[in-house]
Amino acid sequence: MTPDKDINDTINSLCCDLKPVKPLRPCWRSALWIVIALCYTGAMVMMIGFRPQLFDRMVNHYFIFEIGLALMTGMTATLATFWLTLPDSSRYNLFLGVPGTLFSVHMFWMFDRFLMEGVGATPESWMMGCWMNTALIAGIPAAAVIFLIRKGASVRPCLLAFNALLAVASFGWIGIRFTCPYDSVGKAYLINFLPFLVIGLGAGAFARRLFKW
Amino acid sequence: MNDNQTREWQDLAVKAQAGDSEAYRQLLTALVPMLRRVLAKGLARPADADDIVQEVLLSVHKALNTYSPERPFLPWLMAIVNFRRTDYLRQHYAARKNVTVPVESIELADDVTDTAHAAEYKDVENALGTLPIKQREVFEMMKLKGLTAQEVSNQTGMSVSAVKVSVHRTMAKLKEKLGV
Repeated sequence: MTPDKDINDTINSLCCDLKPVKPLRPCWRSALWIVIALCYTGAMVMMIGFRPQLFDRMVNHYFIFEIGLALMTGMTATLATFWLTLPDSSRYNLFLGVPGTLFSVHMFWMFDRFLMEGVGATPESWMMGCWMNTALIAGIPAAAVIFLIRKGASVRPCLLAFNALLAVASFGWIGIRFTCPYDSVGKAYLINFLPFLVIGLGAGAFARRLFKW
Repeated sequence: MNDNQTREWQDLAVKAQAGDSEAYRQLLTALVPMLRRVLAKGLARPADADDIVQEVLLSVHKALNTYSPERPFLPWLMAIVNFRRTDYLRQHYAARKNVTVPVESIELADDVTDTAHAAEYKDVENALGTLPIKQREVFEMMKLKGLTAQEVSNQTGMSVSAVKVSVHRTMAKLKEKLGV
């Protein structure tokens, strides 16, 4: 079969297979996912129960800064994730650096706190940490983001996976901070945040297969 | 490709999103020559371009919903083209297809020759041809066939020392003739 005949056959079969499609709206999808994540996280926080002295913490500058930073990181990472589902996402390159930058600020903040306060007390057993709630809080948003992403066609699957992880981790971490009564670097970051990173690195390794199209 | 053409593709893509298969056929058919041209430029084997063109057409079909009608068509298409080309080359190099050749395409010479030294061998052959027959036979037996002086002596009836002297003189003559 000649190449021309091959290509003509392909075109014929694609035309026969054509169905009307609605153009993907990344901003709408981002908004939808953020609403899902916030509602679900809020519901889970209420189900698990608020941490003791939450209102005392709410006036603590460090706490507010950390929650605000995580919220900004989560929202920008969500937007970046859904923009990355478009093949021509390169037009957003300037913005795509924002979630990573906010994440770096967060890591730098954690490192600064570590230098000032030390790692702090950690639970005797890893399983005793609040991170078990992490799976509960982040599970549905993670599944939702994967479902919504798969409608797209990303040409940068690894960057997409990184931003999706950052979005899920940020909202999940906010939920954890409202339920888990620990604020030390050791607990707030190493015990509660590290599992997100480990799971994310694992998922990142499969990003190419996960978002294959 | 000019602005009118890209605008036309943009319109066809919008119609294709609405389910107009005739517009879709026009679009895909119009893209093929451009894709071939673009892809053939960056490939070591231009014949591979047709495989990637097919991949790109399938990808355009799968990703049709990601095209935003208010955005230009070409950057969207080129992002897919580059992605598929990279993907194809990654698989191509991973399978080491760039360093393997089908057995049937290998051309073997009828006889094995050292082409780099072919001219020098011819000179030696010509120089040997100028020697007396007896002297040449002794030389060939010892230096080309690898027989010992004793074996040559047994075959020719010459004494061992006569064989050695003959070979030595032949070597000197050859060197002189070849200017070595």
